[in-house]
Amino acid sequence: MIGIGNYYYSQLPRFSGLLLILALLVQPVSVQAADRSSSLYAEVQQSIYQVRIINRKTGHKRTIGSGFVIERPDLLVTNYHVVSAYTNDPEDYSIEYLATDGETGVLELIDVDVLHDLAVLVADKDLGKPLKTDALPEKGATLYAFGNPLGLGFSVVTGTNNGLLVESEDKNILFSGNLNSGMSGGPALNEQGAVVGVNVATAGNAVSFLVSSQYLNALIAQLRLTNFEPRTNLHESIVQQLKFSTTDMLQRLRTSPWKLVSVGNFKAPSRLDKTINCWDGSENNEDHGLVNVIAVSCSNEREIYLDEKLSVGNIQYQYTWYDSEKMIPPRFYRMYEAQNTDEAANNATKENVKDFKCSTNFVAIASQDFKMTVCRRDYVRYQGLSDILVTGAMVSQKQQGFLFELFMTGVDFKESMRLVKQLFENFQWQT
Amino acid sequence: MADLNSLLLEIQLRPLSQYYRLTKFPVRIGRALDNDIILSDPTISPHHLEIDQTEQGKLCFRNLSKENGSRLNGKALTAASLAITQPINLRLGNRRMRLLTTAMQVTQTSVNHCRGWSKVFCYPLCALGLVGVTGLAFFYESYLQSIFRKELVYYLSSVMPYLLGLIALALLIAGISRLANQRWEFFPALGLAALCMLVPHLLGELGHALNYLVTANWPLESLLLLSNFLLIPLLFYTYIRTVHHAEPWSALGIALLFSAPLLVYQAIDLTDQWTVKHEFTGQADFNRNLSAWDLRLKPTLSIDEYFAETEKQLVSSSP
Repeated sequence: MIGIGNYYYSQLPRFSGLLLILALLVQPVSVQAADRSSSLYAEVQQSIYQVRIINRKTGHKRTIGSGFVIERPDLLVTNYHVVSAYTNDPEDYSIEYLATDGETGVLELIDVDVLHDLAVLVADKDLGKPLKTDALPEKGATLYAFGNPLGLGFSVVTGTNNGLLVESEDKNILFSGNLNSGMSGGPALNEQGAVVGVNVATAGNAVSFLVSSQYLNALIAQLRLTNFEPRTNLHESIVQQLKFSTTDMLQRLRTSPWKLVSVGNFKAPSRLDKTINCWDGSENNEDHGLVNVIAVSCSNEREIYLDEKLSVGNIQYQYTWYDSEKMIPPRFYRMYEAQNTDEAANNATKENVKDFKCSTNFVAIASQDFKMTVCRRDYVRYQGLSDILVTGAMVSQKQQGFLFELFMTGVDFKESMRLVKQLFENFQWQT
Repeated sequence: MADLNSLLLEIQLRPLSQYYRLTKFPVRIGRALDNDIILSDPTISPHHLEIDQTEQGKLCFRNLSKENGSRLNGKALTAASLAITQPINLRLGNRRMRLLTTAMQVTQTSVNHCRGWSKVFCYPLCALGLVGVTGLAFFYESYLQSIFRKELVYYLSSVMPYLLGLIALALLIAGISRLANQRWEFFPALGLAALCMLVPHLLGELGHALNYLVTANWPLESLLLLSNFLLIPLLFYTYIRTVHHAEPWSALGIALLFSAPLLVYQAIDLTDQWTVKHEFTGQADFNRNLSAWDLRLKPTLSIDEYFAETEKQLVSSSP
């Protein structure tokens, strides 16, 4: 993987309609902006570096990203996902910087914030003038993103600030400009040359994302307390951050007021909170013949990047209603059973997760019997975190069916069960 | 002691054996034209065996064949003499024969002697009935699998390939039977072909119902294992016993011989499944069966009981 968040591409198909509209609306480049970008480039180029992860075995780069000097002349900030290969395997990898003038040197990792995809590194010499941070300007203001796209050379990308995505879990800045792989970790500057965000991801077509500088400030403030000493228990710290974040998310989802929506004869909670996004998945009768299908699927559309094959923090659930008065029960159930499969398997590997353990029982939810299965698989390296799959089917009606599926990644098992239990208690059957 | 004038030599041939009455001794058997009994079998030497009688009324045998040899009651023969109180088995080269007396009893057989479920191989109506049931089962299956409103001919047309396969299989079985038996036995073959298709289907349905009953995957898996490995040999065995009146051991041998390609195929399939099962798939493995009749042993729990049970199973089992 090269730098910037390739993992966002997996969510693309769902957004494609939205993407197109945004691309048409945004015209980021203006004449004044081009002038300012050339002067800014001259001002900050001494403070911007390429960060590269080197495989010790071959001496060649494995991952590249960008970084910039902050707080102290020898401190560099980049994205966590740029250095994740190193944090996961410090024996085999090392971190190096490459200056605009071609000079290289070794970097040491101080600390990371996996939730906001930030990492702070220290060099053995002064690298340049530290950049200042600033609050986000008004919506529509021009921002200048710096970095080294595809390792081709230091570049500046002009784009528009489209505000903080307050409804998302990440609370990233929507930046309408063309970030590319390799620019991850580079700074996005305002007109005054202060850092308002850190390049992190793109969904293509000038839809890009920046980490808000407030999280960078928080991380730096915390590191001041320890005088920027490299953290010794980095892995434990990452696990704690993840556990805290996902547990916090589950508790927040449980305590926010829920809105019930009708899905066939059931009423079920749809958006548990504003970070959850729901889509209609009903199918038309041409595809389903005698069966009437109503479906709603919801997700927080979040992936906290841990490594190439593991990301956590996602919650997704869906309700699907089936009914057909024109099919005899065995025929209806033949169709119903064929639909009772889960699609929620992510691309986790056996190095990351253990096998699923499952428990299937029958439970009465809103006066209807469900055959309900809970599965958990524990993480190998992130102790205490599990993937949870809950899937079940209503079995008490002969010509009506209701499938429920919920998949959460990187959560605490007991905490997740509290949410699931509360979900079940909120289902309503309406005749 | 047997009367030597009533001695018979039985040369075992299919479908009907040949009999020679032995009236004068010594008798010499071989492929050369100057023998008393001439056998044009390439594994028999020009002069192969001589049978004579002793003064005590015993028979004495002498092997004349250097290259192919003879066996007497299963043992290699050079020269031996013995009294005939029961059939004497001889083997000359690859040719089997027996020495008998006319007084010896033969076992009773009856073409219509059918017991238990092997009756389907005796009565044409049974076979036709089975074909009908098989057709209906596949018709119903095709109806269940469709989610669209279809004309009757749609379901009929989806049954036709099964009927085609059934008749082709029946003809193959009947043809092989015809070669061995020298007579047509079409209806038993039709019954056998119908059972070969119907029983696995019914076992699958039974396994599905049992899976749901006990909320597990093992009933269907074990029934499929039985069906894949035991059903076809067992059906063939019963067919050969009933239609060909073969002895149990030889019927078993032939049944295994004819099912061998299928058994090897199933074994390959099974080892593939085991290989896949031991690989990491990232998929959750649990029973997903649903049944309209909801016949099950597990009770319906309240939400509180459900989560207590789930935690008991998923928390205690992990470190």
